[in-house]
Amino acid sequence: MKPNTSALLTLIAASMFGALACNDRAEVFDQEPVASSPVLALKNEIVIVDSSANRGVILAPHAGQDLERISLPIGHGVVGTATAADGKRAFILSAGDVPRTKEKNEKPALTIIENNAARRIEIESPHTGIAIDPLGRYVAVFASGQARAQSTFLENPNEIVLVDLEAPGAPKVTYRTLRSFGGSPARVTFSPVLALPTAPRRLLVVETEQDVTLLDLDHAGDSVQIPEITVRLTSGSSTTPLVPAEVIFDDGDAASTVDARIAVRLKNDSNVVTLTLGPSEAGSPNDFRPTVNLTDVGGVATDIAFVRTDAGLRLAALVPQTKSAVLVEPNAGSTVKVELPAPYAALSSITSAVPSAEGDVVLLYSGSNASVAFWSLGHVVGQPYRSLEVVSLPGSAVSGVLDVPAPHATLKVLQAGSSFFVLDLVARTASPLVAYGVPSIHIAPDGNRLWAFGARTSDLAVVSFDTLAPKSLPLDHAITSVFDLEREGGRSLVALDAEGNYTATVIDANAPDTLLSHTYSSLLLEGLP
Amino acid sequence: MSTKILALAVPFALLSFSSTRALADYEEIAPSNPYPAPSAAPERLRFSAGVRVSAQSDERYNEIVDSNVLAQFSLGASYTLITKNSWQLAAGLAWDLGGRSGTIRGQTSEVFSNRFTVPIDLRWKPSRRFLAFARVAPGATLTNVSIREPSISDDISDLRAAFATDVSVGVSAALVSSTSTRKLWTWLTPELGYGFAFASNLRLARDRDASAQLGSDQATNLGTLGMSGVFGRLSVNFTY
Amino acid sequence: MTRMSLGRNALITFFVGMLGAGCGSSDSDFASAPSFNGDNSESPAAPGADTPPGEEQEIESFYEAPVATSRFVWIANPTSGRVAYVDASTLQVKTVDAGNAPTYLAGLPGQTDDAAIVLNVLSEDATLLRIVNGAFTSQTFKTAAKTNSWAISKDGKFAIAWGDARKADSAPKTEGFQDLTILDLVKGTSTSLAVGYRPVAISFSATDAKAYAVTQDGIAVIDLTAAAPKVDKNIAISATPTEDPGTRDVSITPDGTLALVRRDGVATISVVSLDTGTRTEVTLSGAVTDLDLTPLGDRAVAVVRSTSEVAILPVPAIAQDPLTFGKVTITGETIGSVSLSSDGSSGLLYTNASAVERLTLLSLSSPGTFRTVRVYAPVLSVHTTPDGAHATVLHATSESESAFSLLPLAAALPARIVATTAPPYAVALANDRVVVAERSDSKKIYGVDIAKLPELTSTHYDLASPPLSAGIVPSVRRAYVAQRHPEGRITFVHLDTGVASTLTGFELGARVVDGSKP
Repeated sequence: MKPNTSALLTLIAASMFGALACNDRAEVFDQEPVASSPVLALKNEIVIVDSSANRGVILAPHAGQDLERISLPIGHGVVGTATAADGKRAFILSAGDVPRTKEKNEKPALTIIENNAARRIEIESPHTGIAIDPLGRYVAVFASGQARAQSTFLENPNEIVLVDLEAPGAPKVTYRTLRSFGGSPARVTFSPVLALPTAPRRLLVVETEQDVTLLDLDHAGDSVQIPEITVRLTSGSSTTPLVPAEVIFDDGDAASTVDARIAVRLKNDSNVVTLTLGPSEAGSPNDFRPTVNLTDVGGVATDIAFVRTDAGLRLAALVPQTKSAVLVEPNAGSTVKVELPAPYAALSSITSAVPSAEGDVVLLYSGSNASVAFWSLGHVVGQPYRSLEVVSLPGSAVSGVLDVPAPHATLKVLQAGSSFFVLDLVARTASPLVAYGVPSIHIAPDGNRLWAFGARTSDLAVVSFDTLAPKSLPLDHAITSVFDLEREGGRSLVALDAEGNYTATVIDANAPDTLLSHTYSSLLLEGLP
Repeated sequence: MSTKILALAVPFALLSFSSTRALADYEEIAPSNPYPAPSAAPERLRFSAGVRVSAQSDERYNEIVDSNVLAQFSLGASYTLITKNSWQLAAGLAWDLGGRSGTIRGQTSEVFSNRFTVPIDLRWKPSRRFLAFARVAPGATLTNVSIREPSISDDISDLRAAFATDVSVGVSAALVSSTSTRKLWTWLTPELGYGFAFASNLRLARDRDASAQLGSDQATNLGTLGMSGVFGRLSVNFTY
Repeated sequence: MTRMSLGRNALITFFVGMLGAGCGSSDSDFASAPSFNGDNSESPAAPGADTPPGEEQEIESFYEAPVATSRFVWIANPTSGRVAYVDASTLQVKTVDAGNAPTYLAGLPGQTDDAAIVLNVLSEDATLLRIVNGAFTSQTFKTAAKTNSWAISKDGKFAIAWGDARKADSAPKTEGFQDLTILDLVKGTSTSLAVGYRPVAISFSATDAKAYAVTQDGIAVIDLTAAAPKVDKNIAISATPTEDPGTRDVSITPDGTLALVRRDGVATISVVSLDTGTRTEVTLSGAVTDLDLTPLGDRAVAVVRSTSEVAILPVPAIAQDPLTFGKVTITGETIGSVSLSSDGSSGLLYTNASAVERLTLLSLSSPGTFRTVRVYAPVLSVHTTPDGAHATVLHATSESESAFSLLPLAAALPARIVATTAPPYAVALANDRVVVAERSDSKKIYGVDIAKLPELTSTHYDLASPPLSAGIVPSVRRAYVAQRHPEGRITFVHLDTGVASTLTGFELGARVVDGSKP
């Protein structure tokens, strides 16, 4: 056979193989995991939202540092995530496939992961905001205003999608478009049960850039919709809208049904707005109506709380601008100004940890101050200056206060730069723990220990709240987050590195020893479809 | 398995029969010729070097390296055991080695495969400069899969062996014939076939001593991988 | 002094400093009495601080303030052009549109429903606001320019918008404020006409057939029964046209037949017939320092400080017989002013021209019967409850020491002094309650005291903002204190339970949308 014939044969063979080589793999293998994918911590597992693979990867520790890995499908186009307060459910909001060209293309949906299973609830509108009812019954989906889902050309920002997870049969999805005076929802809050004039009720409070809307949750899904109540915060004579920054609730006296209140802190005004929920007018479709009251606290308040003092219920507002706190009597609107030793900007009620018969006790702190203060509200009237006790934290401005669950509920962990302090609320002592670097803190949900790690380093340590003795547990990979999870027969720590395809090290949380740890690499390569 | 044996036996039998008949013809007509024709004795040793390109049928391969093509260097040697007329039976050893790099989920990946086979050829050589063959080459593959994992700044890898067999057909054409001073023939041999290999579990882990491990490194489960698929080989052979 | 009457239960609301229900005061006083405008944060000065020595002070209200009708409290917001009305029982707030810069409010008496009228300063009109069976209606009337006060007839049929020069800062002399507008609220008509220079008071006859405008040129008599109201005549009240009108104090009898004129430093009282123009001079023992007319108009009480003498003039007989009248000398006491009870049976005699800590209760039904009561701070003003059983005495004090006293009148009991945290600023009275608002702008102390009668006990409430006025809505047993706040603030205190509720932000409260309206 002549050489040119051989060459021809070779060329034919190569072309055939070339054709065979054009066989595309599934797109997921071409896509890196999304950087900083949400990791949702549940009670006994974590869920990594691997949105580029349209799945949630569950990591559940078991005895012997085993780590069970389960992949569950989630909706396409993840736009938001959240977890339930009780740690039993994870919620993943997705925008679906756009455009839908095939039957199998997905619509927007809410995926709920619970008990290692996922269920999808289709919704019509691909909003990006999600708020979870602390009592676990409702999920509110709304346009958060932060980023519109890339798949939508047009969005109704005033639509709230309410999912009732406890509706008989399947979860019930209700669509409500709230009336708008130009604003759109920025934040959604579920109220506790409030004793209203006709019946106890829960409300959904929606804050926009300029007003607050109250939606009766118990009747939100009625066939005949009850209109929501909109409290417009701008008087109409000014072009500057008053922007709500926070809402808090108080049910008032247990024996009264006309003193439930909502307080609204404003971002750009020195007033605090109080809504007292009383009887409605005749002919109103709602059976309650808010009475609006403004109280000037002397400066823009940075934090508010309803507190019990020896003189009764008060609304406490922190005004660091004037280095003071203001107590507002909600009925008369009168105020008592309490000068503070430092411009504290945040408060945290600690009455549940250190009960006082005379009134609430509040912890004051701020990120610009190297101290915290205990404010006993049982000594407010007449002698406010004696109700404050300052604990100095030399050279360390407190950037955050972390609660410690029982059995160490009388402790708080104060984050302050490269140090942190274990604050004893009863003894009013602050024990420093110094890190070399800026530690990230994770409090174990069982209240027995905390974990400290250097973000993006391999440094890890555990501190028992009983002894405050740190134990160093350096890993051999960087750590982005840690999770102290419940498992059968104990608890495990999962230290996660969210780089690449994720690596996790599992350590026995109750008897931590790296010698017995298990390291799992490339977690997001497993279980791909 | 029985089908494969039958597939090898039938052509082998045919070749044997035809080669015997060819030898007999040759003896009857041989005249006394002062200038005898060049010897038609077969070149018993055959060395080959070439390229084996396969299209892997296991989707896992494609998923790992983003291609289903595996190109390998191919080396082999064979010895003609039996020659009967224009039929020959040869056996030898072959080694295909090669791999492919790619990416998986943004990370560098590689599959490197060694294929060790014992090719058994049944050849038909109607002329001195041309032959056709059918080949069965049982053997084994030794495949290494490795993937870079940035979170541990290291690779995870797995080395797996599996039984493999190639079945192929081809032709061989002489490019350079021997001379009185050089007895070496040079051939060009294209070949087409299918390589079978059993799938093996992929459990990738860091390759380090137990003493270097923090606790223990657990394997990453990537399912199974079998290095099977259509292949083509183009080799240059030297016979002597 | 003719009392003003607000609401239907004979409430008497007096305001000290910058107070006012918007009803025009029928006091006419051309003396340079201290006027406290809306921005004047000064508390009522001690005698002699801003006035010529020895002059009694007439404490009046010159500022727009909320008004109360039977169930609602109305508050005007000149900035937004809206009037807020608060249901005093439920504290629900609604706002309605009025004209441009609604400022001066007045409640309409004698109505079966809640009605108020507001002067819109910039649009020069008035809006009548009425709530009938829960439904709101309004009606607009054109008014004359520069009107800033109201006079309302007893039956609420007529409302007269007029301009009080004392409320206008630095009005040039050429500005006469002579235009007034008479609104016939039944027919829905408005008629503007001119009266004499710078009126100081408007009042009505007992039958509301006539209205009287007391001006520097005399008293204009306006016929309200004509098809269109007109000025019938102008009665000169002085034989000397060039007499300084600023020293006159004119009281008109309820039947509109007589006007009694007092002049500072003059020992005579002129009694002028508004029918014939005849003047009769009544000479007393010295310069008359105060003159008040009983609500029935059957007696006029004149006080001569120099002789501590009180003259009780029978009306109208004094016009015929200027020499026959009763006289009582309050020996040993310095008296210069009188405050008569609502039934005209007694008068409280005091002086605020000097620091005197006593006042004398004089029985008018039994002339000569009087008793002097000691209060433990200098008297500034005295206000009696509608039933005349108690009186509230506001004391002229300093910023650091301020008080009011509660004085039983029916029984000979001592007064109870109540120390306040800031000088008293406004007072409202009912038969069983006294509401005193306190204000100190320099110390930023604001509060309200509510006293119980006849117990004479008092409860203090702190306020968050400077009080502007105080009032009582008797039908719902609530007192209110309007306060200065950019968004509007009013505090209600239930008179029986003592529970205080403050509403701030009327505009916001009224902008709550609950879907009851499309």
